[in-house]
Amino acid sequence: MSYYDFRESNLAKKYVLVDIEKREFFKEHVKLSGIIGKKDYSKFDEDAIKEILTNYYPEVEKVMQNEITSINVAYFFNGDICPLGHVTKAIFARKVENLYNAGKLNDVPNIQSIYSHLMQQTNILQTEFPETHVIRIDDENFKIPSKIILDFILGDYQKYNFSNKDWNIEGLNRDMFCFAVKDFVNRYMLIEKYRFNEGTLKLLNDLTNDNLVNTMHFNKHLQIYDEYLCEFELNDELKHLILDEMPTNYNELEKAIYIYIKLCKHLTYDPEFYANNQAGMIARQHEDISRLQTISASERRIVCYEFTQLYAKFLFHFGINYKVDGGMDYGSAHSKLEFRAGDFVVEADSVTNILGGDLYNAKTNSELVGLVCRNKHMPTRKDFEQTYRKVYEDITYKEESKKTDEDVFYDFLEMFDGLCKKEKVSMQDKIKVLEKQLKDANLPTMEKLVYGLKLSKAIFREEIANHQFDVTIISKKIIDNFNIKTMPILIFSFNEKSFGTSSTTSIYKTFDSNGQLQQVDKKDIIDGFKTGLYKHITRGVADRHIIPGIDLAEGRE
Amino acid sequence: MINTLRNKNKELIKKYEKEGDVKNTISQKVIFNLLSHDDCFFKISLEQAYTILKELNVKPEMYEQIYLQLTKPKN
Repeated sequence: MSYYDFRESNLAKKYVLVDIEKREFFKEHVKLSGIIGKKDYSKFDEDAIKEILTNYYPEVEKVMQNEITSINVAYFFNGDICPLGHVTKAIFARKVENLYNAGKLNDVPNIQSIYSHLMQQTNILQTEFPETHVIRIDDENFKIPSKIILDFILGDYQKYNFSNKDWNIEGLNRDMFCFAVKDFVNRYMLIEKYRFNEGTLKLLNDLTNDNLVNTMHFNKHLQIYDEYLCEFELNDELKHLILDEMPTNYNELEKAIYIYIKLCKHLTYDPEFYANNQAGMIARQHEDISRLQTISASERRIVCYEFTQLYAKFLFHFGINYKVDGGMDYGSAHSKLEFRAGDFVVEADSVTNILGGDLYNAKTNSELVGLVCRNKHMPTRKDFEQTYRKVYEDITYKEESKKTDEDVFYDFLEMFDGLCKKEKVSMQDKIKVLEKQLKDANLPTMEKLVYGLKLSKAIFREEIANHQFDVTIISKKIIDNFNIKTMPILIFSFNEKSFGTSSTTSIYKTFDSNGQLQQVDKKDIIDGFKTGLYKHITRGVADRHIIPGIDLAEGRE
Repeated sequence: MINTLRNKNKELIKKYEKEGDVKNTISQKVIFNLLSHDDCFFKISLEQAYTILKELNVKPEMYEQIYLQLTKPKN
């Protein structure tokens, strides 16, 4: 395609194409200013605006007529469109308006007519909208006169108190009306296309970001999306275990949170599935959806997608709509779900991390990380947080403290180290403490290992920094009733001086699912890797956590 | 158990403030912030844990027993 032809193409109509000689000029006068939605926008300085108005205004006019929301400036080079920057029509017009009013555009030819045209193009009152705005909210259609919406955003909004729920317009309550306005703003791209005063602009941004009211839940999860819902029934024993003590006065959100926590407290990630790197025979067992019916009071081992399906089934029983987000086939990928309970949209993922997810957190009454409120509206998020805490306390009778920010914890710890003379504890005493605590930990296998990881990392925090302690999770083959099982174990490595010094010997202890801490020789570990007794769990060599003093890849010293 | 330590810490803050002991008041207020985290003892070393107990006037022979209580899984 020739250069001339390209300029006549539809693609070219979307751009203000400047001469290649002007490339350096625009590079100097156009800078990235920020991101709106998913698109980055540029800051055009006074000289850039003047240059466009002086030499390229007909191109700008074309763009304006093409119903494109931003002015994209580019040059054509070697067959490619090379962007220099883009700015919304509204921002461009506002900049021109400010410069014009400050008398800085007097030397631009035909500025009077350019200015009038630009102002007219970006004036919402000179645009015709359909008489009524039709919107569907949660399976119901509503018709609102466009004039009511326009009057609202251009000034009537000041008559309403957004923190008060008790007002309605055209039969729509506060949240529904604001949702309709938000839809109108987005559908006609008002923020990008029209000039507004600061008050209206703030309102539009606040409405679209849910800063004022909660609208995120509307039209979300109006039905259940779950391919496997009908393929199994919940085990009665499991139902009783999870639901028997649930308070009868709970609302939908409370029920959903309660069931999630109870399931996390009861179920445990299958250690064999983890130790086998989620592959092999054990993985095939978990791919069989009928296995879900066997999950009960005594059979607690699950993997992520099994948890999701079990939780989904409970939500279904309570009429809570949700969508399962997983792989193409059952068992083919990580799975989680999102549900809607009243005004709340919540994501639930008990296995955000196998070693640090909620299957462990719930069993140790720690903060949950996998139950996340997706609403953007801050008071709604706060309500969710309060409900979550209340339900968690109902289950655990846990006394909550008002804690300081996570970020400042370590600042306080640093201050503490500076203020107080530190107690000394020998490595042997620390090992004894670790040993005692692990022996008494009453947790399922996976959670016991996670507990061992966390506790040892805390006890030996200073030794980790001094290369005197390390902990690694690997798999070990175990003979169980003539069967060979692969289970995860921990290997603790200790060195009185430092792993780097050859003069000292490291001590190794293993911690397995029986809760035993056993000393092992370095040679036994190396032999174990050679014979296949031990294996690394991570797939890639690069991800492997090295056991100090032992060659990971080969199992060689 | 952590609530017992929190209460002890609050008592000491009051005591040191009353006595005009600035240094110890600051130490106790720092400890107050550390103890506000339920998982505090999973984020600090054993030395730091024992130092907190010392600052809260716990007898040294009780350090280990209290630490074991504090880091026990609360299932």
